[in-house]
Order: sequence, then C-alpha cells, then structure tokens
Amino acid sequence: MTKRRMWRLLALLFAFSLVAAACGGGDDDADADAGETETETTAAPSEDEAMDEEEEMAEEEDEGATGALGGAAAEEDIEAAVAGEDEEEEMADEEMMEEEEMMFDRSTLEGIFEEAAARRAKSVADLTEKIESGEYGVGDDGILRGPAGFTIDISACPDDWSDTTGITDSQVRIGHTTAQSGNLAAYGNIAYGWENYFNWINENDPIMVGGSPRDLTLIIKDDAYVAAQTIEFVDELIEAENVFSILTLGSPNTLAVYDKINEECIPHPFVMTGHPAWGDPVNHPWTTIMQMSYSTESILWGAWIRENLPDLLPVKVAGLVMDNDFGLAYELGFEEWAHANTDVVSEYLPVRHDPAAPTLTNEMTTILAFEPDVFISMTAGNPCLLAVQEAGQSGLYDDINAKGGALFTPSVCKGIEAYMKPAGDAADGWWIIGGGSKDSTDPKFIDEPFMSFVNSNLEAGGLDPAVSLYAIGYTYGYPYGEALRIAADLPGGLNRTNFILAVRSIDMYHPMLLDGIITQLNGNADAYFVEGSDFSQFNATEQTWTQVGDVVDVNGKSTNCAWDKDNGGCR
Amino acid sequence: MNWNFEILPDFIFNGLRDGAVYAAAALALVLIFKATTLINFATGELAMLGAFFVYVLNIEQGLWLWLSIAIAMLVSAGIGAAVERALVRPFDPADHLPVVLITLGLFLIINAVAGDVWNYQVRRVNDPFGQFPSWVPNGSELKTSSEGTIACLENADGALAEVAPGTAGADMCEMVGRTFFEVIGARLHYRTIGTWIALALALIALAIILGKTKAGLAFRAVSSNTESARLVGVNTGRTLGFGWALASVFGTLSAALVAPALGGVNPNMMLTILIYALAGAALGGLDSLGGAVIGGLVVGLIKSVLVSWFGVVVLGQAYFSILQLATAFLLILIVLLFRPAGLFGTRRIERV
Repeated sequence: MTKRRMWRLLALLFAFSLVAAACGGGDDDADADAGETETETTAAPSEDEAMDEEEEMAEEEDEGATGALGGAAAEEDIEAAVAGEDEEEEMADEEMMEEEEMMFDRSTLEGIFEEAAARRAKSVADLTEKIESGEYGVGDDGILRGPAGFTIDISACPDDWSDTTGITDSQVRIGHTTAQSGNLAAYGNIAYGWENYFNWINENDPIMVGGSPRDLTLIIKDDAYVAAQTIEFVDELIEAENVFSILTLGSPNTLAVYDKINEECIPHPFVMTGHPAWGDPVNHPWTTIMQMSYSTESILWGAWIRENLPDLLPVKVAGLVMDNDFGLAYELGFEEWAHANTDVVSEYLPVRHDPAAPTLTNEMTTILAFEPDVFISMTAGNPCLLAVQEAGQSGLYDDINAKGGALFTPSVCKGIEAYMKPAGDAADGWWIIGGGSKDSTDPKFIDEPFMSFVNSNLEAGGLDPAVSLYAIGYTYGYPYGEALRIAADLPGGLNRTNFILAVRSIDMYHPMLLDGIITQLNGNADAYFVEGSDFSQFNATEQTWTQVGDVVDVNGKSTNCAWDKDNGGCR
Repeated sequence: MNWNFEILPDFIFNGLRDGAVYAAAALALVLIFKATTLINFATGELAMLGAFFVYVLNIEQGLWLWLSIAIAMLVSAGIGAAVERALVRPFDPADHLPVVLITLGLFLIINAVAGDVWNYQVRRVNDPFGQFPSWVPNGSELKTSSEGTIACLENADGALAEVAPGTAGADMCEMVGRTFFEVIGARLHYRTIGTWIALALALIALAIILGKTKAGLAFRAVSSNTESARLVGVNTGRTLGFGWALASVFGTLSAALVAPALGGVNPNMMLTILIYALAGAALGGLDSLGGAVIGGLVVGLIKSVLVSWFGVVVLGQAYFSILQLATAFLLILIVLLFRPAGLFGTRRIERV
C-alpha cells in the first residue's frame, strides 16, 4: 500500500511540474528580467559592478531611443502626430489628399473604382519602367530587386519552386488557414467575406492572365487557431494543393509558419494579424502586414493617456491580456512604453487570461482590486465583449469613470454588433485606437457607396451583413485583389515575383479605411501598410464609434521588426 | 504578500456563481453516469443546443423568457431521450468504449452543425436575472443622462432608446433597475442570487421526481443495479432514456443560466465549462447527485479564491490567472489518484 501511495505522489508531482512548466514557459523572460532588476537594486554593488550596470543601462536606453520597440514608429513621431505638432507634414498630406479627392469622386462606387484603376495604372507604369530598365525584377544573378533596397535571393528558393505555381488554365489558387472552429471560430467569418469578394471579382471583373480570365479560388483550411494545425495545413497547401500564395490568420499561427513560407518563396501578404513581426522585409520578404501593428497601437494608448489625462498623471494602468503571442505583443508593446514613460504610467499590471476561459469574472475582479485609472483590454474574439461586460458588472467601469480615467478596447474589437452592442450601457464611453477601420455595422458608414456595395454583395451571397467580420473580409481582400491586378499587368504577367513586387510598392486608396489613413508599402523602407489610426469613443445611444480629433498617421515611420522568437521583441 | 481581504467576498461570490453553473452541468454528467456508468462528452453540446433553443424562442420568436427556457428544457429532454434510444441503447451497456466514442462524435457533430446554423459570432440573449424586479426595495435605479433624459435598454434587441422622465415611454425604463446589492463591500449580483435560486429550485424538483414518482423510483433502481431492476420488471431501456432526458434538462438549465455571463450564446460556449463540470463531478463522486452540486461549487471556489484571489492578488503573480483551467485538471487528477470514487461517491468493493 505504501509503495502504491508513493507512486501516486510521484505521479502528482510529475503532473504539477508539467503544469508549472507549461505555465511558466511564456513568462520566463518577464520573470527573469524582474528578478534580475530586483537583485540589482537590492544588493549593494561594488564600484566596478556599478560602472558595468551604468553602461548596461546606457545601452538599454540607446536601444530604446533607436526603437527597441520595433514594428512601430518612433514615439516622438507618434506623439508629435497625436499632439498635432507636425503641421507642415499634415498640411502637405492634406493638400495631397485634396488633390486626389478632386480628381476622383469617392462618394460613388464608380469614382472609387476609377481611382483604383488610375492608381493601378500608375503603379504598373512605374514598375514596368523599372523592370524594363533592369532596376527591378529578377536579375541574371537570381536576385529579385524591388523598391527601397528590397531584395529576395530567388536562387535560394527550393529546386522545385516555380514563379507560376498555383496558376492553372482556369484558376489562381490561394491557400488560407483560419479558425473556423474552436474558441476563436468567429474569426473564420473573415474568410467567407474574403471569398465573397473574390467571387464578385471572378464574376464581374476577373483577373486576366495571358489574355484569359482566371478565377481566384480559395482553399480554406480550418486550423481552429491551433498553431500546430496551421503548420500541418500550410504543408498541405504547399505540397498537395500547389497554391500560388498563402494567407494566414492569427499571431501564434502566423509566427509558426512564416519562416517556412518564406523559405518556400511563396507570397504571404496582408496576413490577418497585427503582430509587429510582419514588418520584416529583409528576413521575411514574402510576408506583409495589413492592419495597424499592435506595437503602434500600444504607443498610441500611451500617447493618448499623456495628452488626455493630464490631471491624473502618472496613472495606474491595468491590462487584460489574452495569453498567447497576440496578447503578449500588446502586453510587451505597452510595457516597454510604460517603462520608458514613468511620468505617464506609474504602475502597470497586465492580467493574463486563458484564451479558452469562458468568463473573465475573476480576472476583472483582480483588476478591480488594483484600482487602475486606465483599463486596457488586450484581447480578441468573444473576450472583447466579456471585458466590456465584466467591467460594467464588477464596478470597474463606474470606478474608472468616477476618477475621470479611461477604458480602452483594442482595435481588433471594433465590431459593434459583435462586441459592443450586447454589452448595453456598459459599452458607453469606451475608447479605441481604431486603426482607421470602418465597422460595417456602424450606422455612420452603412450608406457609404463601398460599404453598401460590400453589404449587398454579402447579402447576395447569403451572408448576414450584421456579422461585421464578413465585411472585414473585404478590408483584407481589397488590397489583395488590387495587388493581384497590378501584378497581372506587369511584364511577364501574374506570377509570384511580380505579385510581391506589386505588394511591396503598393500605394492605394482603401475605401474600407477612414480618409486620412495612408495605405502604402515601399520595399525595405516602409514595411507597414497602415500606420495611422482614429481615436474613437463609443456612443451606446447611437450605437456608433464617435471619432474624436483627427486621424493620426505616421506613414513610413515605423521601424522594421525582425522578431526574436526566443525572447520576444524585435531584434 | 498582499492579503487583500476587502476584495475576497467578490471572489467568493464569483466562485459560487460560476460554481452553481458547474454544479448544474455536473448534475447532467452525474445523471447519465448513474444511468449508464459512462461519461457523456456531448453533455456540454446538448446543453448549448438547449441554450440556442432559448435564443430562438425568446429573441427570434419573442416568447416570454421563462416560457422559452421551459420549452427549451422540454425539447432538450426529448432530444436527450432520442439520442439514448437511437445511439446508445443498441450497444451492449457493459461495453463502454463504443458509447463513449459515440458521445465524442456527437460532441463534434452538434458543435459543427450549430456553427453552421447560427454562426460562431456570439448572439445576445436576455438575462433572466438582469435587474431585480421593481418590487425589490430601492430597485428601480433609473439612469439619467446630462440632458435629463433616461437611457433605457429595450427588451427585444438591446437597442437603446432615450425618453424624458415622466413621459409615456418612461415605464419601459422599469427594466433598468438595480443589478446588485453591496454586501460586505462586494457586489452581490442579482445574476448570482438568481443562479443559486434556480439551481436550488431545480434540485428540489429533481428530489421530488426521483423520490416521489414511479419513474424516479425506477431510475433509482436501475442506477443501483440494472440487472436486478430488469428482473423485477422495470423497463430499463425506457428508464435510461428518462435519465438522459433529465440530464439534458439540467444541461439546458446550466447553459441558459450561464449564457448572459458569456455575452450570449455561441456554439463553443460550453467547451470549457464542461471541463469544470467534470472536475466538479469527479470531486463530488460521479454517482452522487449531492456530490455533483458540492463538487461544482467547490471547483468554482477553488478557481476564484485559490487561484485568482490567493495566486494573483495575494501572491501578486499575475500569470496565475491563466492557471484556472489547469487547476481543474489537477483536481481531477488528485481525486482520481487518491479517492477515485470522489468525496461522496459509492466505493466499489469487490470481494473475491
């Protein structure tokens, strides 16, 4: 009996250690760092040690100044933009925009399509000229050259690689991994909207290859937001489905496969995640971002607090963080900003939650006990709604509002029907760094020509326009389609290298984003498509996001980010 | 160490509220275990289906919420019995593997079908315990905006309407009442109290059904010894079907009670709750109805008080908050290792 009991205890210890290992893994860096700082400050250091420390600290500060927080613009640029200090540039931007708007009528669908055609024609002309002069395109040395020092060594691609894989006599085959089951299954709706847009293209204005139309065909794989599944499906898409390009959804999922996709030289543009790692044209030239990066968003939270809560500074900030690569990108982004701006943030408490947690009651009560002045939700999917709802239920909403503080929901939680409306009164007054996106269920935008085009297409395709994630499919699909069209008109027609050239030099008007958001990529110099945002506050009576102040845009100023998978952060 | 006792009651209330939901779901598991000595992995999904029936009847068809819940419970009972008849009864009751595989298959099928029919976007439901009724003292706490108008929640679709106080539309605002009371500095929500009351009423009903009715007696006989029950003339098949029906009723109740706290209904709403319920059932004893209730409540408390309050607030380890689910697993493991029958379960003694 005693022997048996001993075995049981051993089994239990083993289980404990497994749990500890599983849970401790993600926090190693943070804990280790915290531990180090503690010992450094408590022990009385000898002079030499003190010198070393100072040097180390100076080094750290240097890193900070040069943008250790990669994937975002320098803080000064963003804060200047928030404070409206770079008026000259703004004036220039405005003039440029006015010029464009004068030429095309964005209040009609025809005008929007005319503008898109004209911009594509300009891109095609520019790129064609450079390709013909040998400046861009694949040279004799096997190097693909593009704008602003952008290069890819095509000779390093696999032996069986072809520039036209996935383009058949009738199709352009595009692979997509997404979550259509599991806890974040709602995000799988984006794929249906994306497909709906591509169906519209196929039927009404198809992509031409060699003079004949090709259907954009999506091969959708449900990875249930499980990165291990994404890895398998990406292999399948490459080996068995022979796709032309790949689109992935989710930070953990995309992080798990972007090395492989780049090694295989497969275009991987406009991924459905805002992790800063997708702005890495040197090491991951085939992968690009679409939405505003989470790092930029983190800095904008800070900048907003500094500008708008002067009486409360320094504030206590609590974050509710989804415990995966997605949430941790937010957590890390804001933590770095908070450390560098102790005059603004006195204390920062990130409370992580299990992505599978059904309720967030305990997490929100923990946050309530911390008595923050500002609450930032750093989560996605249904927890977006739970955070708003629980803030109301727990009393956090009342406490923060009584203090004159603020509550933020993240840009990925902008959907009104899905995340704000169900929370009723408790949603009123929440802030968002909205990333410039227009929510298709926002009454303010519903009658816009492109939005009604989107909603009527969705309806015709049997998709309920009340699910705004369908319309998000158009937000991602639109630039994808534009880049495909540009590539199809370049010398050599649609192929992978032309496509990535078109993506890396894209400069377009995006009708699903607010005016004032500049949507450009430029080789190695500008690896972030959206670098601007609105500051909006939710109005529960009207069920709309009310934009407060101007759109802030720091186009081209985000530093690239070679993501350090082991330690987190940009190298 | 930050022994913040001020906030402790909040966590206790959270724990007991969640615990009541786990208890109801654990009852569904235990009822089926008692009948067939197997764990029905589709319990959560059948419950989710029940919650969607409530949604369809109440939100889409506009029926009274409690009537919708009652009808959904009846429909779920029918589905539970039908599943037993069609998919479970044809198999040898002594051979558990095929039936467990069937419940796993059902789990996947129901989830996928619900996803297809209703989509994975969360759909808002009405909260049976949203605001205290107006007869509760100090109940009607109308919200007044800066313009002197009242923002009221409309019942049907949740859209907000503004009306001036004292005008005809203002009676609609009776809905906007008090949602909680302050008890020892913590918020005791109507949702929490209501969940407890609903669970208590359901338990009383269950006790009456099992203790005072013929069907209940037959169920107790079959769960005690199937062979003997059959020999004395109990229709075991029909009785097992009755057990499944009862289980589905409790499942639907738990899902309907928890849905508002989840933001609404969605096909994945019961995935994790089932794990907590399983931990509760294992702790209380898989064949003990009272054990399931206590087990569910204890799991809720462990999650709130031990992990969230002690781990995060007292020890100051923010990452403890992600250990809630792991704790449930750990609890199952501990129980299975040291007391396989659970705290109140029947110990099986086999004599050679």
